[in-house]
Amino acid sequence: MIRNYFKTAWRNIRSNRLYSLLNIAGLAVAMTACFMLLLYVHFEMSYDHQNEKLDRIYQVYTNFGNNNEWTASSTTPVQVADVLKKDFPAVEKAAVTNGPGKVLFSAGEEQARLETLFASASLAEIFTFRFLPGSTPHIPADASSVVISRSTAKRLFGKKDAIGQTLRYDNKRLLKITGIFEDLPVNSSLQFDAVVPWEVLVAEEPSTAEQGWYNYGYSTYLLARENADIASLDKGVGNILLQYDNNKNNKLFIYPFAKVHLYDEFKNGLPDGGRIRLVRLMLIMAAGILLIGCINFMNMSTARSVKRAREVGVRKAIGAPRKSLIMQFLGESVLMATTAFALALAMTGVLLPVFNRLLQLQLTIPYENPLVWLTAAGVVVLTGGIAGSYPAFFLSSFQPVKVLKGSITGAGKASVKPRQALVVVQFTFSICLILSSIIIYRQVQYVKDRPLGYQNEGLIEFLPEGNLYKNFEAFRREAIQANAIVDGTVSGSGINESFGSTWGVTWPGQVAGEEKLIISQMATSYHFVSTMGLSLAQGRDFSEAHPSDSLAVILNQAAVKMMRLEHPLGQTIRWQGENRHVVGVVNDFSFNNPFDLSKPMVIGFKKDWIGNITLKLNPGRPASESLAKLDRIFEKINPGYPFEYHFTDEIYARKFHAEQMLGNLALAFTLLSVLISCLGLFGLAAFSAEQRQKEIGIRKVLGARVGSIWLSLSREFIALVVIAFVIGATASSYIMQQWLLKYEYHTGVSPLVIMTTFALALVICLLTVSFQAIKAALTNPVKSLRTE
Amino acid sequence: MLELKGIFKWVNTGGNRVFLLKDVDLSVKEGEFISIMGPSGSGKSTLLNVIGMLDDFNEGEYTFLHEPVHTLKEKHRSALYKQYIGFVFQAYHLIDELTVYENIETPLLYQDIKSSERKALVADMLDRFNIVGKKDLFPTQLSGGQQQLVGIARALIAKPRLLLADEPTGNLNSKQGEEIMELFSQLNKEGMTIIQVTHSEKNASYGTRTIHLLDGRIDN
Repeated sequence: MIRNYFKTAWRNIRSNRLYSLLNIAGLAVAMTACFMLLLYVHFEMSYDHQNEKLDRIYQVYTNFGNNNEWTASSTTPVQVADVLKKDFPAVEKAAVTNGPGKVLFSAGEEQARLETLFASASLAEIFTFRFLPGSTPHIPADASSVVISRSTAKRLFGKKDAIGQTLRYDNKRLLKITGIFEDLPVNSSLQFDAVVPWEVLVAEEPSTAEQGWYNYGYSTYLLARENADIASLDKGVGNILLQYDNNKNNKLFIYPFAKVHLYDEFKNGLPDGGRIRLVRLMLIMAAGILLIGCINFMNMSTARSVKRAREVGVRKAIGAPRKSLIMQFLGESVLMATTAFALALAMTGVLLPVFNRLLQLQLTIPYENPLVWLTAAGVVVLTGGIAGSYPAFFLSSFQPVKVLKGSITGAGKASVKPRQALVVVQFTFSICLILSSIIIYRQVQYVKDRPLGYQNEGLIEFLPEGNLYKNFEAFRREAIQANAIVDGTVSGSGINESFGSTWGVTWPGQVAGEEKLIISQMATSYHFVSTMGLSLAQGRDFSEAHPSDSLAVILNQAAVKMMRLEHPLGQTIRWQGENRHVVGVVNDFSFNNPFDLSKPMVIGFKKDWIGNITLKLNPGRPASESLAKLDRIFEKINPGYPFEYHFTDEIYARKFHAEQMLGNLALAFTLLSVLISCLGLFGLAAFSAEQRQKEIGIRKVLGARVGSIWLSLSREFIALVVIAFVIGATASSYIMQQWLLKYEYHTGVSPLVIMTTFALALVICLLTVSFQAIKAALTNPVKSLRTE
Repeated sequence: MLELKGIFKWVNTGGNRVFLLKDVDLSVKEGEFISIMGPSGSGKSTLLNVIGMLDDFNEGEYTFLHEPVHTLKEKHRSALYKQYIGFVFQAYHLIDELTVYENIETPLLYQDIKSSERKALVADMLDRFNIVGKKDLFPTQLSGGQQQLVGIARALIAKPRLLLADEPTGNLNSKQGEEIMELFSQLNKEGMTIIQVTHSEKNASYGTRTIHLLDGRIDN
């Protein structure tokens, strides 16, 4: 019996090559998309799962209170880990870390800036690091050792055994490599190339140990004992700041490390989703695309029901029970789904690298994981089941007498309504995606086109290291003399980020309570405005000619507006505990999130808050020449450090990464869903033209022109697209409106976008349908009438 | 073997009730070969379908092998007809995707007959109709007469007691038609009860009894 089904199924597939091809291809494309999305979801969901004790690991967070508003942050004071160990029996281990950040390491001639984490030894007892054979399998607790990752060892020592070798840390201290750990998986929240013992940090910066409770610059992790009462532990941790620092403003809490990646956003101190939303979106997309593929399948199978109706009639007349017919059709669609699956597997293999590039991921197909195959089998059976269900139940319900007696065409017509509904569902989804893609791209473009407020061409930046802290002015002077740069400045951070923010700023005419407002700040010395190319609205840059500038500030216009200063120049404001006078006002410029409206900023003169050097390359010279000169000057003034830098405009461009990724993703899946929908539409149009062959023949004999036949064939599909458009456009404009509201600086859903989407959908539909319609219209009527 | 009493069948079109069968009484004995004749639209095929349980009727009683068909549930009815009735169609209605062999075998699949037994039965049938050489061909590769032979072989494979044929020679040329009718009368001699619908007096003459239908009524 089964063999008979398969035979019929296979021969049916072969005898209707075009339909079968469209059908299987559509399903395969849908499955491919679905699989890739599921791989991504799997990747995100298995974040940090390499840690064997993941369910007992917690990270300590701080909720900063301000005006009854809580801001959660994953940092704590340095002392918290010790307190946890001392006061909380429920805590098995606790570790403090700092970083990771770039630190220069040298092994003889080889030099590399490694992503370095400073960590206490217990970190390796909380998290799972896989040390290679020959290693001392833990993080050392002395000031003369270091552990590095496998790829770092290869980079620095090649094939030589790295264990026992020494590395020079930041051109200062010698550290012996005691262990090599396996590279961390890509989907690990902790990412670093080297772990330097906490003792090294204390030895290099003795202040670390005596740090006050005010410095929330460290990360604290803990491993809870098995069966520990987490709620009471959290409550206890919440009292630490009050108990040790008498701090009533801020409060610590513990957060499961398993949630750190996916649930990474907080609102008013409480978890508020985060990346999980993207993961859910991906799941919805996966389901949606698969559904579109299934709908195609159902559509085409039912369209072909006319051809199959006779077979059903015959089978019923010779004794086939309905159940066995249902089984037959379901079997057929499962067979097709299996074929599509094989195809999808091959396509996934080919397309995964493209997908990875698009999303900047490193997904792989876990062939060895039985769960994956089980999921795949599930998808196939489900797809076959869903896709085959409609034709199966529909076809098997035919009355043999009717179909055999020639009222066969009725069978085709009866299925038109549900098929139309399916096409509408399909196009609704496609139109939603088209509209969303356009809006995402427009929003990104809108923000990119926004004036920066500074000149980022030819700006490079790097960290001050070694001698540069003291000798920056000499370096700058020499570089300008060599015509390599036209200007340069040191500041707390690059222009793309503020140097944090502060509160407690006061100004003349301030209303009570306003001193609690959070204001962005930038610490800088001379040449900041000129190097960045900021435009001054009033006043001047800091200048060596005015010794009093060491107690001066520059404001941006948003700050002036917020402070309601009519004549800002010369006014005294209090910033960082000092009274300072305003010497200049700059026009607003972009920093931090380019999607935000301009935020108030205080640019304060603070020579010792140095974290970044920015240089303006000489625009009259080729950049490569200037950079070569800079390399030589750098080498001379700061020997032992390689000259590495970033272009400021590239740093800026990276801020669009998430949105661009979303845009690329939306575009990719728009194309896919449109492609699949078109395959379906193409098949239906072919069917419709075939079914109306006789009608077209008669019309032509009566004198109808090609144009009018084309119109009469295309009309029904255009109507469907219009309906789908109304539903899809309404739904997605609403959703995208919500999405846009996430951004302070955003474009709107303009009627133009909606009209463009409509035109696009219509053109796509017409192109697909017209091929068949025109082909049918051009057929010689004698032929189609004779075959009747 | 079977008895129809006061069978009515109608359809409603617009406000009118159109009668397809009107008060049909018919009794068929085992071993008869009956021809149903009448002009187009007189209800011949409808009557045949009612007898074959492919079609319902609205009023009357139908007893088939002592079973009151009109009171039976769908499931019973289909079991009954699966076991006792074979169908031959004017347009042959073979399944295009299956070979001759597979077409003949299909009814046995629906009766859950074992594979070895199926093989023997199909081989017998191929032998009997002299189409062993064609068993691997597909219907479209055969002439009309040959297709109808396959259709008959398929109808007979499950050893029915009643063979129903709806204009079995309608699509055939006269020589092919003659051969089929010879086959029918041979089957009848072997004890098969046959009811056929036909337009041709000549074909009707092969039978043991002819029933004339006019406007859904038996017209004798």
